[in-house]
Order: sequence, then structure tokens, then C-alpha cells
Amino acid sequence: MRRTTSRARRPVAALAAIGSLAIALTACTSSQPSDSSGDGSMSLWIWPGGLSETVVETVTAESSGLEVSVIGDDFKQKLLTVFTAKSDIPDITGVKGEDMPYFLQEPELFTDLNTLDIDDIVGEFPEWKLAEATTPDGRLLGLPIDIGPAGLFYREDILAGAGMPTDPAEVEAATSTYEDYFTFGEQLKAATGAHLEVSAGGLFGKVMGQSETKFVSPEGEFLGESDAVRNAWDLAVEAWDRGLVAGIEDGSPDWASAVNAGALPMLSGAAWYAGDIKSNAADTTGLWRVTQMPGGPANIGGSFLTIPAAAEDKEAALEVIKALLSPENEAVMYTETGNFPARTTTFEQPGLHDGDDFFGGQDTVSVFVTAAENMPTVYNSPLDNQVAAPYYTELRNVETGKDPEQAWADAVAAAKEALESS
Amino acid sequence: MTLTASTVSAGVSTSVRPRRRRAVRAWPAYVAIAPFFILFLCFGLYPTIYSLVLSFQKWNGLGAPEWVGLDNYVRLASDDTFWLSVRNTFVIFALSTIPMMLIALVVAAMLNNAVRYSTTLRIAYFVPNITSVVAMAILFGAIFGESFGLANATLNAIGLPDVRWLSTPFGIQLTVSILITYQWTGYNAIIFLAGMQSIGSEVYEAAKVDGAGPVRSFFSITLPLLRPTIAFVLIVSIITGLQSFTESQVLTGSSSPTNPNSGGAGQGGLTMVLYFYQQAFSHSKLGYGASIAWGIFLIVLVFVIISWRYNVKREDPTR
Repeated sequence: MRRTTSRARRPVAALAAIGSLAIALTACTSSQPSDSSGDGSMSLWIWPGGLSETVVETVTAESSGLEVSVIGDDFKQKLLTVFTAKSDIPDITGVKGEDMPYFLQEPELFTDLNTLDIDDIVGEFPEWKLAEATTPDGRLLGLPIDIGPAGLFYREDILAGAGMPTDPAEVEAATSTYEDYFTFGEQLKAATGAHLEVSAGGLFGKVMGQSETKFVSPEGEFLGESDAVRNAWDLAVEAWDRGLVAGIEDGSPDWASAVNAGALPMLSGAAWYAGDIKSNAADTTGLWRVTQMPGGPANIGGSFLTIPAAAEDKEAALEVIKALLSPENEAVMYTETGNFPARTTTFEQPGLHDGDDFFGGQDTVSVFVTAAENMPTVYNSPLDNQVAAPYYTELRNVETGKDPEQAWADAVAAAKEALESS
Repeated sequence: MTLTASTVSAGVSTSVRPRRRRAVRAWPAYVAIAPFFILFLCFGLYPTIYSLVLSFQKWNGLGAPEWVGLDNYVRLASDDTFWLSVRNTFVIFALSTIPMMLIALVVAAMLNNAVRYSTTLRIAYFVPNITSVVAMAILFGAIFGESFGLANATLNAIGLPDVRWLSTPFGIQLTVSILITYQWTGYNAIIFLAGMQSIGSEVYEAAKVDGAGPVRSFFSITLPLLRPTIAFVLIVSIITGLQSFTESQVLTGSSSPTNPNSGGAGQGGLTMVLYFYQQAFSHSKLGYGASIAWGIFLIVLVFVIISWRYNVKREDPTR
């Protein structure tokens, strides 16, 4: 009986086997035909929130054949995968500001935008931001979508309750240097018990953001013992010693509770940081104000649109980028996503200076425009992140009781090792 | 499909035919098992071998890889951070596996004796294992938050001081261990339960006749007869525990663009796999990352062999 069953099943089994084999084989080969091969279609890669959805819809409707893929998770890794596989490379792709130094190492993967017709718009982007996407030999790999000029956000009601200045201009004057800022923080803490800074590492990162040199020079030399790094380290340790640092993780649930409770009434960060505050502390609408950072402007983040070298029709791709970055669309992006426009002519658009209800109707855009205009031009090495990592780790250790001088020595040693081994 | 394949081959093997013809006649069986092997070759074996090649190279993910011989492994042996991550992993492994095995045994023994709602209880114990680890880690981050977390609020309510869960190295290791214990206890309890149910009731009855109480029969009958199951659970726990990653990655807030995946305060949450991930993907040192991965492989292998040999030796006299 068993034998007859298995005989009767045989053709079915063979069919099922062939079917699943076919599935396995298709899983192994790449789905090729989606590549744009002269049929006028164009693909664009961006991460969620990288461009405004309204702008993408408008531009897709205008230019036929544009297909926008929103790629989540580790965007850089996925982009790297198609570059390595040399297939399905998009015609236009976003590149995050922090990943740009990495991709600048292989400029052959991208189109040098200077070889295309960008003369009409390139002057409308800040030079310091374009410098972030320019190779040492002058190739421009991307046009900036947005920038991250930093400001000092503060709770007006809590400063008022502590009897401190509350007007943005007055707060700016009272906190223009880090020395003044720390004194301001001590008064604030004495009156309210609130902390000035989230973490020592966070303060270190912001001071490094204001510095013209980072951890590695353009020639690849170690700058981890330079005055700039030491100054940022000393300020972070000083703030910790004076009891001004809460010592919690930025963006963590603890951070959100503290912001809501008014235990962190002063937060400095990029323009997009306002979005984090808004979404985590919606109940504090109208109580916030923003002014210039102590110690000068800093840029944190801000992305680019690039045209990979594999793109079929580079002129058409550039036209799409120009449409996405038009002043009108940049203004829509700012109101929709909070990403601060890189194109300076955007600020002539109506409505942008109307004021933000979350900030009690303050014209926040002007604060960031001022910051962006005074931004220093810096060199970001692709090795900066790994060389900088030990400093952040050791500052965490200082927060848990390690001797600052020992921590500094360990950080420098680990940073040197990280640079030598890469 | 496995069922079909085995029925087919069972039908074939009964008849005596030349070897070649048998292979030809059995082709549907080979085709039926082929998908697994093809997928395994593409997504299992090939990446594994490629990572071995990569571990002898220096590669940032772009451009041409550079052959550096054993440099990566030499550096790995003297890398303090790697040995710190090994230590962290073992601390987390011990803090999670020992309580987990004990609780799972007790839970299984109770489930084995449960008269009512036993299916509901089994499902309830299994749920933590099929919940997304990331979602649970985020929830645990909120529960074990420093100044505003539920755990500290509870401690305060009963008059105990705050514990710095996520800002001291040991606190992080403890929190990660609690999360792993929570996640795996139910799963292992179900496995233990299956092992207990395969123990014949006549053994227990004999023990009862000899005058053994429930505690005595648990230690003298259940535990010894459960040894193969315990060995299985231990080996699986070693393999998963030594590769723990997601829990500490999410709990230590590793998404920040500055210093990502560094394991939190004092790098207490930096497990071996998290260190591999940081070096390979945050710092783009793919070659060095691959050598860390092979270092982890060797360490896991050594411990699996130790626990396997130990169990086999203990079982020998009874066989």
C-alpha cells in the first residue's frame, strides 16, 4: 500500500521539486532588467525623511520616468552593496553628510558635477558645505540638500522662573563664550537644579564641531593631541567637574523625560534637533526659544544628492536634482521635515520667516541663517569617526569616576592605534 | 517536501538495482533537496569562505583590498578592546544563562504538573521569545532608565536607592542579562518540558512505591534522565549567548552618529559581536572585522567542544 502511494505521488513530487528549484535559482540571480538602459527611466535613492514627500511627488509628476526608492535602515551599507556589485546602481542617490568623507575616497564612483552645467545654481549653496563634497583635486561629487547649523535651544519659562535673562539676544550675550555659558549654567542650576548639558561627550562633540580642524589632517596626520581637541576635552571635563552635566544618553527615554520635566532646559544642537525636541516634548509648545551657540557656529549633519558615475543620462539626472533643490521646493522641505535648506535663495521665499509656534512665534530661521553665514570651512577625514571614538568612550568613563588625565592618556593612545591600524 | 523526498527514497531503497540507475531514478529526491543546498551555497557557505579570505586583507569596502597576511590576527591577539569584549560577553553569558536554566527547569517542572490552563501557560511562556528583540530592548531601555525609569521608581517605592542601570558597565551587563533571561527562559522551559514528558510514568511510579517524594524524584529521576536535554539547551545557550548583539546594541543607544556601537558606559555592553559590527560597519574596517568574526568562531567552538565532551563523558557509564 505504501508503495502504490509513493508511485502515484512521484510526478507530483517531481513537479514540486522542479518548482522549488526554480525559486531557489531565481533567488540566487540578481533581478537585472530593472536597470535603466536608455528607456528614459531614472532611479533615485533616498532614506526616509531625506527629502520631503510633497517635493518628491511634485517632481515625479513633472519628470516622466523618475522612480524614487525610499531605502530604510543602513543606507550607506546598501549603497555600498550596489556599488560593489556594479548592478542596479541608482541614477541619483542621496549621501548623508557623515558618509561623504568615506565616499570621497573613491570619487570615480560618482560624476564630477563640475563637468556638468551647474553654474546657474552652485553659487547659491554655502561654500563651506560644498567643500564637504569636494575632493582634494577639486571634483565636486554632490549638491547639498540641507545643512545642520547649530543653535542653543532653551526654555523661556524656566529661565524666567530662575530670574535669568529670557530674550534671545540677551541670552546670546550672556552665553557668548563657554566661560560665560558655564557661569550661566551654574546660576541656573542653583535656582532650579537643572543641568546645562546632556553628556560630557555631547559637549565635546559640539566644541569639536566648532573647530576648523578635527582629528586627522588632510595629509593623514594624527591631530588627536592638538590644541583644538585638548580644548574641547578640557571644556567637557570642566563642565562635568562643575556639576553642569546630567550624564545621560542623548535621545534616550531618560533624555525625553528630562526634557519634558524641565530638567534639561538648555539644549544645543543642529536645526533638525528642534524636530527631536518637538516630537519628544509636545506639551512644552510655545515655551522654547532659540539663539546662537556659545563659542560660535557649528554644523552638525546635512546631506547631499549625487549622480553615480554609472548613471545613463547625467544631464537629465542633474535636471531632476535642480528641480528637487529649487528654492520653492527647499522651502516646502523645511516646513515639512524641518531639514534646514542648503540653498540660500530659499530664505527669500514667502512664509519662511513667519515664526514657529513651538518657539512662541519666534523667527527661528533667521537665527540659523546667521549661524550658517558664519560657519567655518573644515576638513572631515574618512577616519575621523574611528579616531574620535576613544575620546567619547573615555569621557563616558570620566562620568563614571575615572581620573580625567588618565582618561585623556588612554584616549590618545587608543586613537593613535585606531589611526595606525586603518 | 521533506516528507515526499523520504517516501520516494524509501520506495527506491527497497529494490536492488545497479547504483547508477538508482541515482537516476532518485532524481526527484535530489532535486527536492537541492533548493536548500543551493541557497546554503549562495548565502551560507560562500559568505563564510569569503569572510575567511577577507580576514587576511585590509579593505574599507570601497576600492581594492590589500593583502596583509596574518596582520589582522596578530593585532587581534593584542587588542585590549577585543579582550574586554570577550570578558563582557562571558559576564553577560554567565549572568543570563545560569538563572535562565534554573528558572526554566522550575517552570518546566511546574508546567509538567499543571492540570489546568497548561496550553495557555505554555503559550504565555513562549511569547517573549517570539517578540521582536529590538522592541523589547527599547521597552527595557524605558524600564531601566536612570532617573525616570520604572525599575528605579519601584525600588524607590520600597525604600531602596536608585541603581545606575545604564550608566555603569556592570549595570549595563546586568540589564542586558535580565533581557536575555526574560527572552529565553520560556523557550528553554518548553524544551525541558518536552524532555520531561518523554520520561516514562512507570519510572516515577516505581519511585513512588520506593517512598520518594516529589522533590526526591525530581533530583533522582527527572534531572538525571533530562541530561541529554540539558546538554542540548546548554550548547544552544552557549552558541546564542556568546553571540549576543542586538540587546546591548539597542540598550546602549548605539544609533548616535558620534561613536556608534561602542557599548555604552565603560564599554560594558560591548559584546564580541557588537565589537565586530562596530569595526566592520561603523569604522569600515571590513578585513579586521572578519578576523574578529573568526576569533569569535574559535572561542565559541572551544566552549561547545568542552561542554559536549563533558556531557558525553558523564553519559558513558549509563550506556
